[in-house]
Amino acid sequence: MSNILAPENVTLNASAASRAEVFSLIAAKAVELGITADEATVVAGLESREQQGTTGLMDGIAIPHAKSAGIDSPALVIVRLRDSVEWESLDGQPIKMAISLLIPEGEAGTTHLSLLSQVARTLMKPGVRAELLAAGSPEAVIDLLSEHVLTGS
Amino acid sequence: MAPIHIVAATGCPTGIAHTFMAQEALQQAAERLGVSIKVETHGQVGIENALTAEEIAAADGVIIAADKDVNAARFDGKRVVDVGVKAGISRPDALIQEIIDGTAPVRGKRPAAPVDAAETEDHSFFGDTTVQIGAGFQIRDLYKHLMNGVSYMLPFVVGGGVLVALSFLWGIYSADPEHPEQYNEFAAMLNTIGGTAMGLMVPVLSAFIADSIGKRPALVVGLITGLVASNGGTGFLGGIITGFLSGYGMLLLAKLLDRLPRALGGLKAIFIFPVLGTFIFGSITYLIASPMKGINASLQDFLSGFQDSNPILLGLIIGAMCAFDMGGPVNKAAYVTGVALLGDGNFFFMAAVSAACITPPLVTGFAALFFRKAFDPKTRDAAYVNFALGATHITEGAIPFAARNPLLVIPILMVSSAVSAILTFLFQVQVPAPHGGFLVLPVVTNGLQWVGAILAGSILGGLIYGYAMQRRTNTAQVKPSIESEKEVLV
Repeated sequence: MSNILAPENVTLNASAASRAEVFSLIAAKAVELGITADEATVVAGLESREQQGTTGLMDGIAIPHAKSAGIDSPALVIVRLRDSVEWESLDGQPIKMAISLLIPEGEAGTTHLSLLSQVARTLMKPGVRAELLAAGSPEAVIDLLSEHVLTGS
Repeated sequence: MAPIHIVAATGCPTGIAHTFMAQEALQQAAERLGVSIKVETHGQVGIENALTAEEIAAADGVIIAADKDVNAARFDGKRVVDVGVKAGISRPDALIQEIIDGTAPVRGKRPAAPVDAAETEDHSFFGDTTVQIGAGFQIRDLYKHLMNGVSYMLPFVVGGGVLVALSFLWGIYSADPEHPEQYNEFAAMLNTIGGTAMGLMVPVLSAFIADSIGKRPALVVGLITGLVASNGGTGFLGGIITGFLSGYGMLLLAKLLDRLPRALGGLKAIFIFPVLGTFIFGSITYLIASPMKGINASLQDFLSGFQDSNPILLGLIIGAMCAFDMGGPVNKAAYVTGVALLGDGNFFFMAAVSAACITPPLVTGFAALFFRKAFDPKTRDAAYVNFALGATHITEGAIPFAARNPLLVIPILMVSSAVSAILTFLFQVQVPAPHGGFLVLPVVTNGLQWVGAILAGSILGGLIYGYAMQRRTNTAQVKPSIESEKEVLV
């Protein structure tokens, strides 16, 4: 499960002008990391999940996710933007950071799926969202998440 | 005021993120507001942290934060806040406040039974002494009650059985001072302790069947009648009968005594129930003990006769039963019989049952070992883990494999378990402990043959299963998995 919480999966200081561009960034990163071979599938998956209801949360954080046969292994792709983009969210704020969960079709990798759930759960802990937005490096982002995920606290 | 307790269920279409964030948010809000909460999650990996009927019944209110069906009908009659999963994430405090304030509407037509404070006056010293008549009687309940008894009984049998078996390491008469050549004080002690534990088996079985039916008042009566039956030589069958007799008997007695004036409520719990219940059901047990003993003895004779005259058929039945549902009711029926017979000194039956229960996980392990390519890496790892599970008598390890293609796998497992069980009978193996797998080998009679029997069944099954899987992989090559999961985002 090492590859889920790895600094390579984190991009800080990205620039995007819209939600669609954020999705393209995520998909390009997923291809680069070898999570998928099909960039378009990932974008389509993210878009279609968004149709069912926004994944924007509070405090400028969103958790776009996609489940698709085109995704080879469960993975986490994190993109933090220099400037926030418009994104329907629970508190109406624009989104500054997308923590994206990519999920393969079928039941493969239950352990990894639970790990992704743990990451999502972590986002609800007090202070975590602010710390993520302030983290200075990809390593710091990963450390922050693994600290909570692995200790379960 | 009693602390407020809330139960909740969360779920979202994908079942990865929102479900768990809502759970976390609700738990934190509950902590802030000083209430206790249990949150059931309906996620991608299934239902976790499931709520029991008792927990729902005891809760002050229910929060549903879900965008999918979470089986809400079970919350009928409770105060329910029913919202989407996002509300659970964004305003958990408000949802909980609705329960605290009692403003949430009652779900369904039937209102929750009003709690009459006078009625629940504290007899808490005696625990929950209210005996309730169940709304509907179901056959399934009988099974539930029986299994409650069995699960409490098992540790007694394990503890007792292993100690007794250990004492035999000094010789079969090691605990008998009449045989000074073998007598050993330590062995005698082990034997006494183990024997006492085994002696508690039938009373405990009876007590906890009764407890499952009629709560604490029935527990008392079930324990006593179980001991009476056990002393009367009725064996485990007697214990099952006294358990049900005491449980349902006490329900009936409670109903008959319902008309007593309320003032006698406290007296009922501490005096009337134990005295009257013990007298009535103790007497019945006393009277039926001797016919029960006869029935038990003839059953024993039948089984051991069957064991001697037709070990192959008996092994076939046991093997097929154990592998049929791996831990389900059919498996348990064979298993419970084996455990019960231990109490009567028949160690052959348990040996066959254990062999049949150990085999299925090993079959999957051997299949993956022999036919590596027929399994993807993750499945292969799971199959290897099954060597450990099988060796410790955890049949359930094979379930994920059987669940994938039951029609192919279950028959193979049944055949393999039957082979193991039949060979075990033929080798005259005796296993005195009802669990533990190969860990109990030191106390197994003909242990080597037993391992051989199990390996024979497992390797045979592994070859068949692996071969079948390989053929499937070859023919079905790259067929995309499960088309029905069309909804790209579950």
